[in-house]
Amino acid sequence: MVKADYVLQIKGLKTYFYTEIGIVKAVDDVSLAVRESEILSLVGESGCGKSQLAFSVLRLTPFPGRTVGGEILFDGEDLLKKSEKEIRAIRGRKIAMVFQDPMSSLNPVFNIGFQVGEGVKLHEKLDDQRTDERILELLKKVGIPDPAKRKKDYPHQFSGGMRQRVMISIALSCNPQLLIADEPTTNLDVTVQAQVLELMKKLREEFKSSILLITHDFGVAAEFSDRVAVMYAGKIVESSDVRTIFKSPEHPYTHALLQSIPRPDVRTSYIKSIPGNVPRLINPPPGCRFHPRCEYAKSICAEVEPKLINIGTAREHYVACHLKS
Amino acid sequence: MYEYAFSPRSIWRRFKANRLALVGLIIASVILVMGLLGPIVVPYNPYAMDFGRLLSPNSQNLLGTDDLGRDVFSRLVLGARISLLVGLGGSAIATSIGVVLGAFAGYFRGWIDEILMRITDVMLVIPSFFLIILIVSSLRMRSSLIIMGILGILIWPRLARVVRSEILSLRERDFTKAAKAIGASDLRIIFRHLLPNAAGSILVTTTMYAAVCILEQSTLSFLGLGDPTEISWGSMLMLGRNYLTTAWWLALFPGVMIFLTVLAFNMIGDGLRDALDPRLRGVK
Amino acid sequence: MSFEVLEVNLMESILEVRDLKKHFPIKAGLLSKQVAAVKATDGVSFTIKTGETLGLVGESGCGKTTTSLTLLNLLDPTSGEVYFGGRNIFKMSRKERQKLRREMQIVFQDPFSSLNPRMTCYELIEEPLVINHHLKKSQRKERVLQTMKKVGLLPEDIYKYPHEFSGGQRQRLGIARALIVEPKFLVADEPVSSIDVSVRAQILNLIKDLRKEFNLTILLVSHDLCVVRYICDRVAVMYLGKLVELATTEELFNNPRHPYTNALLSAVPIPDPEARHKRIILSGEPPTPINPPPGCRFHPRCEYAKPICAEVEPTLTNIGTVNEHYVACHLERK
Repeated sequence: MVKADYVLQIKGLKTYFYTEIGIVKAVDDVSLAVRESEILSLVGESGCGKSQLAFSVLRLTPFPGRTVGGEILFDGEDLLKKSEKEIRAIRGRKIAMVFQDPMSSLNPVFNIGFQVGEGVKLHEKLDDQRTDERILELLKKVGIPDPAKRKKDYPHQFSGGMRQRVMISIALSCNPQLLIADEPTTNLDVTVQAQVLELMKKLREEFKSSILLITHDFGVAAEFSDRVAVMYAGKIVESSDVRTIFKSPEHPYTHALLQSIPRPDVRTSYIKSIPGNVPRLINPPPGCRFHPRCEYAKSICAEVEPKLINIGTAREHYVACHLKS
Repeated sequence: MYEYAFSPRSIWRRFKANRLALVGLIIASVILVMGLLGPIVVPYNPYAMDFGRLLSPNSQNLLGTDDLGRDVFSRLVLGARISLLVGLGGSAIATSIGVVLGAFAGYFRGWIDEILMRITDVMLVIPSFFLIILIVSSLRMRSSLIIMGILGILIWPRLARVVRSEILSLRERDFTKAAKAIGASDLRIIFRHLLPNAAGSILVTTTMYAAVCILEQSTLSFLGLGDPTEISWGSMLMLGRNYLTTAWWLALFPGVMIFLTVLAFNMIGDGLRDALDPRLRGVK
Repeated sequence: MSFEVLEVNLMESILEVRDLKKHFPIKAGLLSKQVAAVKATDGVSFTIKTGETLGLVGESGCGKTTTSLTLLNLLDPTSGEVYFGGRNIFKMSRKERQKLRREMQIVFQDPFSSLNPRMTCYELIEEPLVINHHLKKSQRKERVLQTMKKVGLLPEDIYKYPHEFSGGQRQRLGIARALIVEPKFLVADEPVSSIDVSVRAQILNLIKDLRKEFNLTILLVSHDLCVVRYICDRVAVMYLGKLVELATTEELFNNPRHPYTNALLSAVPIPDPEARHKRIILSGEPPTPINPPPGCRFHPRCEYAKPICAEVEPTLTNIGTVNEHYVACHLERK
């Protein structure tokens, strides 16, 4: 079902890492879609493969990983079938990415102005004067005070929150259709996180880009997104609009996870913990990957992998669970 | 996410998988056996001048005989002893001094560190090679033990530097704070916590030291500065020099032995380094 | 610097911190002269009651970790006093301080880096007993296994190395190591920040159970307010080296009086799309602790700042009626 208003459609994506100790199925048959101008949060714990999913979209999977199956449809075309040259034209321009740690993603030896302008120069081929104007405009938009002076400064002269704003300005410099933000506020203080998320919201209004937000923080997902997809051990286990996910989660993992997070707004006397540990992707449990920790597991759960199917009536609500099919 | 595996079993497993390292270990083991069992294993008395002079390798004398009619093979086996003694002994001395001084300097900083740095600065600048020759040639008694001691005392600065820099970074790690928190004394922290984590660099340098000492000792005896009463590869080489064109076996075999031994230790060192600090390429 | 003495019966409070300061000197020039200092902890005073869990919250640079390390004497203080059980720990002899280590322990944030990668699980947990040597080897083994059971580790794991455990298990190891000497006081520095979200609840519940069993007094240092609300009895908020508010958990969360606390609480995202709360977005970023602003350190970012806030530093005063509620803010003074 290819709807005209999907910006990104991932179908059956498989990205595996071929390491000395075995095959790590980081992204294992994942299907996702991001609509125009919407914010989709991809929520999952560390090691579930969500960052690798993001890298796969832009074909930035590091060695020894390879995308070995599936389709990534963007603008009607499969990104996996494009040449390296074609992908480069898309990176930074049509699809932009903001990384988790701005210190390591910004080049320490070039000043901010240079780095912000790089994308502009590359993709739009503007002359120096116009590039400079654009740089100042962008820096102002993301809230960097005194941009004319600060564009000559280097990354280490900025605080974490400022650096992240710079990263966002680089990402938005060419007006991309899709912004992939990989844990953009995880390393920031909570008050700075609030600032940066507000900024991203505001910019989304203005630029009308779609955002694929990757995070492990359910709070961020709740306040920030339109739809949520939950990922566990390399697979999508549930996805729906944000209200449904939080108010009526169907997958045992989502449900258990939401119950196990202490809330800041109410006093919780007891939170129910999930037994066991997050599985290593090198040897995931057979059948449903969550079954060893699931209190509702049946024998079929240990044998057959559940498929992601839509159980929603009025709205889409995808769940991968034997109990619900 | 990288994985570090430090159990002795996994270290050995990785070492074994490295073919060069394994070869090095085999060669070194053979030489060690030669050295240990030497007198028992040799076919003939290495000092006995029983055979015809300058005989080329034959069925009786596998590697030929020298200008005094002594069996080369027997002498070669016995020569291993000196090389190993000076090599391993010198390395042990240098390692002991270097590790302790380097660790103290890196951990306590302050004036201990300053003094050590200055000393190592000076010692590293002076070419050890010439210094050794100078010292040894001015000695009246030239026993291998003394040479071993001198070598050990001259070469420790490099290891001290290495250990110091490792300790400097290790002492900032959380597990050091944790050890302090449970009440560990400074000495305990250094020897029980920090040094084992620096084992990789230390072992690599130790094996390198062994190779260096063996080479130095051979060079000294080649120049006639070694212990005259002992049989060593270097002195055999010295004798063989005069017969390069006529009796090539006199120089070739000791030369090959020196080469192989040094190579073996180097390969072991590299293998140990890789086995102790592996970066298994994997994704969590 | 004057402060209102927190009048608590010494027997009721196990730890008392008085005007604690820890400055890190910045040296420059040929002779490495001190030109400035990072005033990480700059005059902090509070008491921890026996048996309570006090949360110390704040963002990066506020000095909470420095404070906790200094009060354990893992860092030397620049000035100030810390009284444990009535005795000033900085004035103790080496021997006495050694004994103190048995009473005050710490669990670190990152279980991976706080465990020596070359030691087995057994050696790591046993070590505190070895150092405080008063048990025979067989008795030690028994204690180790006992403690492992209490934290939920299996006996067959004793010879495993840290990297062979999962994150949650490593943290259990760290907790076992801290608790094996049966301390009275435990500092938990961000105990679940480095742990997978689905495992956090296990560790938090474990801490809750163990504190009851071991009768622990805990100082929980965290930037995660959700964790603090779940575990702590009282909460202290730090900003740029100073305490700005201190109250019981419910009082603080329901009725924050300091503008910074207000902003901090409102910034925490709530995992409920229908929760509407007014977000207070602070302007600017916290200044560095090298040159804190004069007067109240928060005044440049405070929307209620008055002229006095830029001149005089507010003192931590009790404005609570039923319960204690300390705030350091000029607005609160009537």
